[in-house]
Amino acid sequence: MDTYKVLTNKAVARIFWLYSANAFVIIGLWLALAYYGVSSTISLAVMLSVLLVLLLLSSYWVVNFTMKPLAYVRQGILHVSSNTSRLSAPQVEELQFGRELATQLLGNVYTMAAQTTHTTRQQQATTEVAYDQTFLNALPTPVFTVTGSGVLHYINDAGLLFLGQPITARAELQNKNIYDVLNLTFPNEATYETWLQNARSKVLKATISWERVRLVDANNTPIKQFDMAASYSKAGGEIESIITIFDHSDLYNKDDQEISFVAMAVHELRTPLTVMRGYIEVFEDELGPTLSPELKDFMHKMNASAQQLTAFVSNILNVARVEENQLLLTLQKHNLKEIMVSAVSDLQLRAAVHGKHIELSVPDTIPDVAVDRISLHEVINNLVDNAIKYSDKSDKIIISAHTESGMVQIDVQDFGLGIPDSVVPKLFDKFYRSHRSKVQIGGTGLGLYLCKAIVTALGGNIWVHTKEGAGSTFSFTIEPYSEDKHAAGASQDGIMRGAHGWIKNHSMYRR
Amino acid sequence: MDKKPNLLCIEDENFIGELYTRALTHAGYDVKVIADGEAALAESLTNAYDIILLDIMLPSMSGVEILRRLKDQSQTPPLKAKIIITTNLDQEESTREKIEKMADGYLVKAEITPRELVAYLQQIKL
Repeated sequence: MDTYKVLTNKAVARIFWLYSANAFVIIGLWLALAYYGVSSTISLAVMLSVLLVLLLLSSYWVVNFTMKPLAYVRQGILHVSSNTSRLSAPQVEELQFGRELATQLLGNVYTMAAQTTHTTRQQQATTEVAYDQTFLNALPTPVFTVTGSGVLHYINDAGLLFLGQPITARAELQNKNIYDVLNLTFPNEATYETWLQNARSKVLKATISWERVRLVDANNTPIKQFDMAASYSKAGGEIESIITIFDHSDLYNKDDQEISFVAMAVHELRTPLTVMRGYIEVFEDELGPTLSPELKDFMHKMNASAQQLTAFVSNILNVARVEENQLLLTLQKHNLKEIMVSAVSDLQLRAAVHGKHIELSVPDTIPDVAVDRISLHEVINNLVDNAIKYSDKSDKIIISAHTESGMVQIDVQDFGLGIPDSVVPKLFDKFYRSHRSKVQIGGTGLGLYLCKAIVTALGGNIWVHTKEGAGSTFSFTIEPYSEDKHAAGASQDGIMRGAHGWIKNHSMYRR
Repeated sequence: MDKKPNLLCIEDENFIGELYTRALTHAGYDVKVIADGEAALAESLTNAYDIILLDIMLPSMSGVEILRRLKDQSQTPPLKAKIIITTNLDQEESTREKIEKMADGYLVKAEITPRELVAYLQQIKL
């Protein structure tokens, strides 16, 4: 039944019983007055007075109970309205008369209030998002917002332009994994992914920037080159990180296409070297048998020096590449023994003219390795070259390889001067060669610096054990080739690595 | 082999040209040296050669451009010659890879002597 009707019936019933009670009182009073023989005039006056008082009291009571539900509803409305002096919510259960109606009305009030609040909040949120998007689309730089699960949340107009996508592609892109949308390579191991993982585990907020990041296609060919900044926030709600890109493709591509000064200088140095080595060979071949042992020795020394200079010229170029983050190695499966035999045969002449002999000791069981052949050659070349220089009076240099804790270790041992302990920590720094000034030995201090950069890029370590007067053993490790590790995810040309480690931003996505 | 293999040496550095000619002639090749890029391209197109040694830094037309023209099937019918890049220019890895894919070999001249070049060429199947 309608709660209002219930209330009315209840009120009518209450008032009926009230007035009946009043009538009984008056009748009782009249009978009592008649019994005591009070004159009718006086009794009439008394009865009228009592009736008046009773009516006043009854009216007050009626008003009081009929108004009470209204008071509760009023309190409820004031409670939910945005009035600053809010009343507490009414306790309708206390109400005896009109509880049904009050409960119903308050229920309606609360529902309406809740709806209003929701709508207002929704309108606010929509306005904020619309404002954000207008703002983001007005920015000249590409912006990508990314959720905690790595999904692209929003890409602005500049971002779509950057990717060469039409505005209509936005909806489709926004459901994709960020690593699908942005296939990036970084100049060193500090990629967006590693930074993000680090930030997640350590901080609430973080920002970072990179230089010379590349956007690459499926064949790893760079499409764009740019600087990039990112922010991370744990409390950012749905959006965990925001990526901003500063496209410098024109500038950086030009750098890459132009033959650098170093490459040009190297080319110019190599041309006369090629010629010199060629003519020396002609002389060796055709005059060799007729020369005295002394002249023959001079010829060998000339040849060895030309070889050494050639190797050094390559060193310069590679150091320049390390400096510019341009030393990219291609790791492929190689037979280590073959590389070492070939490296040693190239070095044997240089050793011989200095009166040294290189002993090579590689077991046939040594596993294949994942390396860049030319670069590994370069490391061995530099270490043996140092061994020749610092062998002093000893005439033996030993190169060996063995497996150690899952890695392949190569040792280059000499029995010469050794290195003072104080300089060992600086040995792999660029241009470091102060200890050499004690003795008359040439060198630039680039060799070990380059060795370290290459070995690191190959995924290994390099170190030295040395004792003054007893000689030094330079050791480095490289990874044995593994189908699982090196074939999976590698292009047909092998895995590309930078001088400072992995450069792909992909490990997470590949998983 | 009954007939001497024909070799075209595209090289603008006279001394290197001389050294290579000498070593290769001794090894039994018929050698012709051309220094100019455009002239070398025209000569290559006669398809008279078994091996072409191609330098990259050349006057009038770069070796990369010559290689591109020679390998462009729409402009040039397939040549019988093996094309070996002989340069002292160290390219960026990606550039070098692209060039290596188009050619049959890539040698840095400073790293090899004429005798080693001959040994390298002799192991190529013509």
